Amino acid sequence: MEEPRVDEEAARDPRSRGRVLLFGAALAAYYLLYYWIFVGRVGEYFGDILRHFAFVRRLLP
Amino acid sequence: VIALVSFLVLLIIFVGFGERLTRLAGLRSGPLLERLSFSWVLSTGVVTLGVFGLAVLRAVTRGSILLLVVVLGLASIGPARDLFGELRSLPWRAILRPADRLDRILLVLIGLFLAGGLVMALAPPTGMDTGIYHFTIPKVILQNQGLVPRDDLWIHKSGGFYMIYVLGMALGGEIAAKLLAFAMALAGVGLCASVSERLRSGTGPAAMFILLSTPLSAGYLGYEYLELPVLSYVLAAFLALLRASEGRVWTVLACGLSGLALSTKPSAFAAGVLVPAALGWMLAREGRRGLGTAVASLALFALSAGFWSLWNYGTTGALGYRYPGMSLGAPDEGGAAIGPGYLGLIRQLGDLATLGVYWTDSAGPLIVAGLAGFALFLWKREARLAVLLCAASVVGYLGVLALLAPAYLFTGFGARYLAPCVVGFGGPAAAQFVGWVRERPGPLRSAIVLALLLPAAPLLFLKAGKAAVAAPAAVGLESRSSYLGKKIETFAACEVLNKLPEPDVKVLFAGVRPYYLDRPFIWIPYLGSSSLLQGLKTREEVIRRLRERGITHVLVEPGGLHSAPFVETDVLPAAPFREIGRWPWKYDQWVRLYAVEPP
Repeated sequence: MEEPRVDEEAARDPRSRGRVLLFGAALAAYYLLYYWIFVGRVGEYFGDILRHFAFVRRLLP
Repeated sequence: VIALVSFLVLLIIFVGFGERLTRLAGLRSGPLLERLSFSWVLSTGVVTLGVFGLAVLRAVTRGSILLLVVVLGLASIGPARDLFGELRSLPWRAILRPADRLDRILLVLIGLFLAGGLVMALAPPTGMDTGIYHFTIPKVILQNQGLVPRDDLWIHKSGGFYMIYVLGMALGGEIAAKLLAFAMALAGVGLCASVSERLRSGTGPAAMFILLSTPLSAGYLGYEYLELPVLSYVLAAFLALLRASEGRVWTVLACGLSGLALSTKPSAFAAGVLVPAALGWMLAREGRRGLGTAVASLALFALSAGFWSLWNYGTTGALGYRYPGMSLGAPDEGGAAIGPGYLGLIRQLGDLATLGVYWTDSAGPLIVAGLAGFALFLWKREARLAVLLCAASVVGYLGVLALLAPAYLFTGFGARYLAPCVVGFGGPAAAQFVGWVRERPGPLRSAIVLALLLPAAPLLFLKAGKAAVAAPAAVGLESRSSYLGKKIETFAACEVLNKLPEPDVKVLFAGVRPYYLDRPFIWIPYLGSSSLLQGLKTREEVIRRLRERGITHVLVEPGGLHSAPFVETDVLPAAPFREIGRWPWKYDQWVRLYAVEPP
């Protein structure tokens, strides 16, 4: 029962709320960056796949 | 069918034999998932050393491998029966339908990742590095009944897990070898859950999901690469470290298992941080009484990390053989230009935290977020071992490169080499953070649940796409020949060579992936220079050298003769070379096959 009381106090503490906000904002920014890079990488990947499989298209009659 | 049956038999034997070893070592029993996963990895390590011994003695035959498996099988009968009895008595309904809604979602997603990986594992091998050396070297070992020194093939680079591929190929072919790699990855998933449960109770399912939803695991699951075996060894060594207070054997095992990670892929040397951690902790606990254990631990580490180097020393006079035009710490001749530049270092760490080329090689965003969250909220509340090991592996990796190979410090290669350690140590740490947040309703919990699930969606989509392409070949609806003919540009030429009636065919393979060739060959590496062609200046010299080495055919993939381009322009177009086939490649170029006419 000790730990939840500490957390409730921490939740009321403005410094703790600030840390949560800061962490949440950094998390959102990081995930946006991740997905932005992800889209680029997947584009790269499919571009290469299409080039790679150009030889398959040329195998077709 | 043979591959599947072989794999299932090996699965039972490996798990049972590993359990036998833990009983012989007097190790206290743990939870079932932990025992199954740890037993698998322990057996893998012992079998690696056993098959390597056979390979050094040039005694690798189907018969000797079968004999080894029979011996392991006899030792595993009792423990395997006990384990499967325990498996039957598990409350499967409760396990498969957990009370918590998030756990149910995680379980479904875990199942989807594993199903995608299994389909890939059942399809013929197509990985780029697989065709270059991860499967080529085991195939050459089988063809030669053991290890043979060669300067055209990267057989002197330590690849301990190749011995498991040798075992699988000898008994059930390439699909059995792939399934063994898949099982090793599964053991890693189980070990990640086990480590996390020991750090914070109730975090196992989240830890499994975190590991599987990293780009590293999602990308390589079902493939025949070495990153996931390294990851499993790292997690097994981490588990042994966590249990070190139960007995000195655990410290010895932690060092031996981290050595196996290094011998699987020497570039994963960051896993070596486990050795000072295990020894330091043991000596702090035991004082001078632990010196004998420390010596035994270091001896086992030296053996498990360095057995391949001993063979190198015996055959080439050097522990680490240097291939022509390739060296540590300097740009490879003919390879991509590298460093120095701090932008490269930032890119290396950036790739690790976001995504590498082709959406693999990175630890993914949740692990980085979890580590940051742990440092911000849990630093004074929870066991910090996972976070500290993760930080030590990154610092150690960069430090060793700075001292020994500064040029590589500034390249993007490192993301892939570091990722097994960052995932192996960071995954359980992130699971600790997720477990703590889940107990505290509020906006932080919602944000972290979202951050946990989001990275999985696109990775699952991509994995499903790959699995859909591989599925017809995986279930036998599409032939190996048809599937690989669409995936590998040189496969059709290899098939022609494999089907030639002449018994003495020997190929000069100037292409990327010689694995698909069943005939003896000399490879022109796509990196570095070729020892076969090195120093040759004229057409006559090339023809004389090829005849001396018994070459009957030349297969050329565009760019394959980069180290001696005049061979393509001045040597091959005229007699005694006769073009006998060509197949389309990228960019309107061709794969060409030549016969070398007799004099």
